[in-house]
Amino acid sequence: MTRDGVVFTAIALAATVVWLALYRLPFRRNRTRQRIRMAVAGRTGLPSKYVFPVLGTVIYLVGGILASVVLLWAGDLGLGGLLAWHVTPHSVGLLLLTAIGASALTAFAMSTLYTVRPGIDVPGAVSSVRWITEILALPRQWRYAVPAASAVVEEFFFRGVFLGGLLATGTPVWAAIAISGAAFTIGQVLLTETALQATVLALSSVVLAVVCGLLVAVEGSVLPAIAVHASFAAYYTQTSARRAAPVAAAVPR
Amino acid sequence: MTTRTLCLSVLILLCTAFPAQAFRLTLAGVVGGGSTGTRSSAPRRLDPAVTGQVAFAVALIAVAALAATLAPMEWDLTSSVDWYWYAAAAAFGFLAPVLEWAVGAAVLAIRHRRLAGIALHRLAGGGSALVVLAAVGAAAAEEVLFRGVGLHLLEGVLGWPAAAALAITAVVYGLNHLYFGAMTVVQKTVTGVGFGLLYLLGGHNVLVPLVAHVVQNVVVLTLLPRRKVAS
Repeated sequence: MTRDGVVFTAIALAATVVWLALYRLPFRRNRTRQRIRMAVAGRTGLPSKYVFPVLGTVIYLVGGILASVVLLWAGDLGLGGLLAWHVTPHSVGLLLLTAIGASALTAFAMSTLYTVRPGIDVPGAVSSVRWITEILALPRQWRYAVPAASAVVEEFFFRGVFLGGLLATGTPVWAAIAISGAAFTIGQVLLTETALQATVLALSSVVLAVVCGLLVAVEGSVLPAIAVHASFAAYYTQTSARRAAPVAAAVPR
Repeated sequence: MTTRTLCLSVLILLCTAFPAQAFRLTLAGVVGGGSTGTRSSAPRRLDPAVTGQVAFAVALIAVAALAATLAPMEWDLTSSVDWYWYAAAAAFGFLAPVLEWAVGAAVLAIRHRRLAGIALHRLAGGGSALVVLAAVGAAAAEEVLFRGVGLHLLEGVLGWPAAAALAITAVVYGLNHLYFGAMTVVQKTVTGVGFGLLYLLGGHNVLVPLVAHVVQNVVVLTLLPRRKVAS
């Protein structure tokens, strides 16, 4: 790994930490949450149960976009180069196979979890992750859009500018996928509260990081990886909510 | 080999490694729901409905076709294979159910338990012609995925030693039967080694293990006695 690669990794990790801290830290204490909820609801007329789902999503998306801009600048990357996708029958087929593969690998990982620990409730664990519970409080049509939008930003940051920037510094593909994938996985794990949530999200994050990372390396564009991640996130948030006990989807107050 | 070929090979290997579990679970939830009527106490995924078997085979064939088209390799199904390899494949297909039963019995013997007579797994499909046809299609798809694409990419494109490629594809093939329980995983890993050997020794033509696998599935579904469904 070159000096440039090390410097870029450090900047990218710092951007990731700031992004997630902005999203997570201001709302840790219940008293603060209550005050913010009242203030926003009072000023905007937004129903108070939607305040945190909306505010959290906006902060997460804006934070991710800002972090991406920093890395675009730090890595001297062109937006066109990251996005330009040469669409051929082969590339569309590979997008389809990767989407199937991401689901198949995740299903296999979850089945292995069930085999080792038969009593666990994976859908329940997924839908009780705080940001997912918040999303599930939103009206029906937004429950697809919000996870998909978050996935687009995450994918653009981790597999677009982060991975792309590392590859531009001459870092080997395997190392670039491992570093950006580890940052992505740790970020997802930090947003969970229990050991089972952490295990489930870590497994699916590793699957996405590896298959989407390889897809970016093959296609030379982050667009197909964004499509895979967005469809995956929208689908799994939905199915987990449907299969989990109804209590888990209750509105957080 | 270029980095792109390497990444494409690894991506295809990963994406085609474990299709079975996802399809079994998804399809059991989708098509199995309506026909469980008489055994409503059993979990829905245990439903051996014919539609489930057919849909499973169709899904597997679609993935196999996709992977076979996308993989960075040339398909040569016409390469000359001595006739006795096909005979050996057919013979292995006939013996495979006995071999799997023996493996199961051996594993249980180590644990001081005895295996009942040879019989079909209770999760296997019914005996209708459609189920047999679906099993033939699934056998063909599995051979294309695990031997035609998997073993070839590992050994031929990534340059792994033949033994390592054979072992990993056999274990992955075995793990795809996790739906049927841990014992089936062990049994299928053993037959997976057999199919892999047929592929490697029989001139790297996927048709050889494909014949063995089709014969095995047909023998299993038409000749083996059926165990009573546990209620």
